[in-house]
Amino acid sequence: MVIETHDLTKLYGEKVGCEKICLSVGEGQIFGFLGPNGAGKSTFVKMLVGLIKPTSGTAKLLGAPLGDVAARRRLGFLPENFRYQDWLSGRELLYYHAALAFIPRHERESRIDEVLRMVKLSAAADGKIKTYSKGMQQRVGIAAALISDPDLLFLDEPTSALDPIGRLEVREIITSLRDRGKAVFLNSHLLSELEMICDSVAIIKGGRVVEEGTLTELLKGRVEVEVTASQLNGSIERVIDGLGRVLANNGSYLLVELDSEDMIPTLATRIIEAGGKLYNLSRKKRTLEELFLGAVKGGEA
Amino acid sequence: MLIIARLTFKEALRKKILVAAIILSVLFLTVYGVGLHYATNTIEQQTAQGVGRGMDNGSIAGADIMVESSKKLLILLGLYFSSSIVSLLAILSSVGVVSSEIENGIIHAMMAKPIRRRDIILGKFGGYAAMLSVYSALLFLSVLLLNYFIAGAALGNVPLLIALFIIQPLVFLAVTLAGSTAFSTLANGIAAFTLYIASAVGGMLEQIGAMLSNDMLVNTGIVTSLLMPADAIYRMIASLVTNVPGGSINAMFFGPFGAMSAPSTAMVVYAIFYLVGFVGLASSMFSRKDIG
Repeated sequence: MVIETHDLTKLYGEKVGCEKICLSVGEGQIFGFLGPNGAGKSTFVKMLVGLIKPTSGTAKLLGAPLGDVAARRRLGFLPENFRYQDWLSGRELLYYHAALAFIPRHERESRIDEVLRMVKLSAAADGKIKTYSKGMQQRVGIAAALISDPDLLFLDEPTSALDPIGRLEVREIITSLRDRGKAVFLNSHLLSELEMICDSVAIIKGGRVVEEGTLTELLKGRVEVEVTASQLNGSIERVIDGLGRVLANNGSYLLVELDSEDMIPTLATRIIEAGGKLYNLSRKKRTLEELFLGAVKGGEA
Repeated sequence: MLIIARLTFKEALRKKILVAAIILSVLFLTVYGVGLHYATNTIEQQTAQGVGRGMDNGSIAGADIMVESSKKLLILLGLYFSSSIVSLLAILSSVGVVSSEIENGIIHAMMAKPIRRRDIILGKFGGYAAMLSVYSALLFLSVLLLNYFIAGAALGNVPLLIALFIIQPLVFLAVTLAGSTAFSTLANGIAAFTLYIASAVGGMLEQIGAMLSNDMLVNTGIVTSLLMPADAIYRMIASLVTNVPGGSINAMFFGPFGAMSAPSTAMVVYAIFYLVGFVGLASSMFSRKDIG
């Protein structure tokens, strides 16, 4: 595991930053960390990268205890409110970060060129950062996070300032890192983007993790099936009997909740046996947004 | 640590406060040079008139001491205000050295790198200390050169005097750096500036107390010197500069710019420990600080 936390807690006096967080992230995994504003996402990330100290609990990053300086050679971090020395050029900033990451002097230039190509900033590398657009500043921030070719990368809202093409490019960078066995811990509000690339997610609310697992498992949820069939008049209750319940019935369109996944073929058989004409039967997949809203709004009433 | 020091040095060089300090220093040196020129002319004219009136040998010797003392006073004036400039430069340039980087988020990405927090503090101290040392040495030498070419006054032991002169801004830098790890930029600026004023006023009171033989005033100065030893270092410089035949008469002559109550060498040692202690305190506080 590249990240392992046990009951990691941060309290600010009476106020809870985050509480008893237990998470595990493996190598080559893209992990999404979601939550509403003020839920404790950034507090958790800041604890992991060494900006703030936990009140209690333990954690290991890349096999080393939290705060281990040497382990940070294999770690990259893009802060949420990225700000850099804007009087430096992009290249100078990366040189500075390369030196801080103890990249050998003779490797620095080639590594800087490489990350500049990755974030598509080679042409503007020698311009002062203060002349960069917000999107370019975010790109140079991502480049600074990637400079040491980290095994674990923390990205806090990495695409907040980027246009759709920029977001696509960042997604490609992230997935290419996963392909090379690197782990990426993503903090983001852009749920559709997370859904596209994350292997696992955790949802935090009020400082506590309320949902956690692989995206596939979490989005499975209840077994809901959409059915489009005709000539079932009067026999719907008989068809569904013992399998589950009807959630919506608009004539030929039905939304059915089944008791288990195994009942999907049984439902299809019964529709045919009842003389119905079956045009469509598909498992309805939850979106990450539905999962998120369900987790965050659940218990609020 | 060196890479942080190098970047901090570059950053310090491009600060507007340094540009302002350079402009003010040039203005100060110009005004000081003009004043020096006319004051020297007056001293020389009065001495020549005295000799012309047929002073005896004892009177001539006394006049020589007066001339020498007047020249030293002019040097002290230059050094006193130069000390103020470099001390204020130290405070104003480094007031947000840590706090402003926390406030604007620049430090966040840096802190996830494989460096210890104490190295960040030492690097930042080193960068500013380098800038302030170069600046202070140049200003000190400018004052001495003006005195040499305009008034014909020269000082011995210049390397020691420069070293002492440089300690003053470094002491303020150490305190401001420590404050910057604990307070906001504005609060730190107010605190450091107040300390500077207290140190200057305390130093003056101590000299006035020594002239009036008032122990209360002298003790007040000693206490402020313990709280902020920069003025005591200036008094040490003043004591070395004014070390001319005539002893206490001359010391009195220099008024609040002199060293009627001269600090001991122990005070220099104290100032160095003070400086190191505050850098250590900055490192310790920063190491424990949550960077929100």
